[in-house]
Amino acid sequence: MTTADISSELWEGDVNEAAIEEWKADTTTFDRVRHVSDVTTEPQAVSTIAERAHVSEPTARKYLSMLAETGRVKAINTESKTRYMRAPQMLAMKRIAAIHREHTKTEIRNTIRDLKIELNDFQEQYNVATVDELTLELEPGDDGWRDITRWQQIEENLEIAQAALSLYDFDPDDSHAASARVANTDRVVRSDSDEYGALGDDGEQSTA
Amino acid sequence: MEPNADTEGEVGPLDETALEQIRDEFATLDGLVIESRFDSLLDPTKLIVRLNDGIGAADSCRFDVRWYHTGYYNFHHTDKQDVNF
Repeated sequence: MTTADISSELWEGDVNEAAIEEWKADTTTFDRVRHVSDVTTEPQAVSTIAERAHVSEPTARKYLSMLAETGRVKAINTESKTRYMRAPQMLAMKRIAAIHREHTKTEIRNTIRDLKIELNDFQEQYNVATVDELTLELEPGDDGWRDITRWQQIEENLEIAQAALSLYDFDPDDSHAASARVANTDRVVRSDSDEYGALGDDGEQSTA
Repeated sequence: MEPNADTEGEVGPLDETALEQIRDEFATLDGLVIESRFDSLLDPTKLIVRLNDGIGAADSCRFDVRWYHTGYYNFHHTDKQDVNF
């Protein structure tokens, strides 16, 4: 009796349907197209992306072409129609910027060193030069697939870390070098005034 | 996207963008999230989410989430009651 009472109060909806309804209620159509395109790693037709984002096809097409203009998604034109996928460079830039912001040059260098060691270990262990060679050698169900994933991960992280490191040499705001430069300029100005006295050339100082 | 607990074929590298979306989704659980972070920014291997509640008697739990480029994913749940799945 009590069991029947309880079960009659149990919710009998479909959890996936409910999640979709909640998603649609909480987001705009643009949010959903962006969310879906951000995790689209292979080129897909507008109709497929529209379906996944639960928006109409014209809406998806409109937003996808907007996102393509900003560089967030990549448009791949085939003879019949345009397919879309996320732009890996744009998303990599977000990670690079975050690493640049939160890690020192030394930390990034150490990570690059560790990742390279791990990569060399894989090359020696499997006696192949690239991850693609290993992929060709493995059979479904082999233990090595976990290492393939790790290897691909290492290569991606290496590229990102190296890009983050090179950002230290490309610093438009000069935030990292600012304090050092101020100290440096002080010293240069003093030595200039020693040599040239009050006639020190402004133009020369600014190039210091 | 097919769920798959074990890596038995090529799943591709970890998808940080997808994991960030998952982190944002966890963040909508008001007040429940103690922390949600990647294990590393430079070499991320998983997203760690700790919640201030759990299943049954557990008063907190932890999810280790992995999501790969091909759509394969893995949610690992642990808590102090040794509920492990």
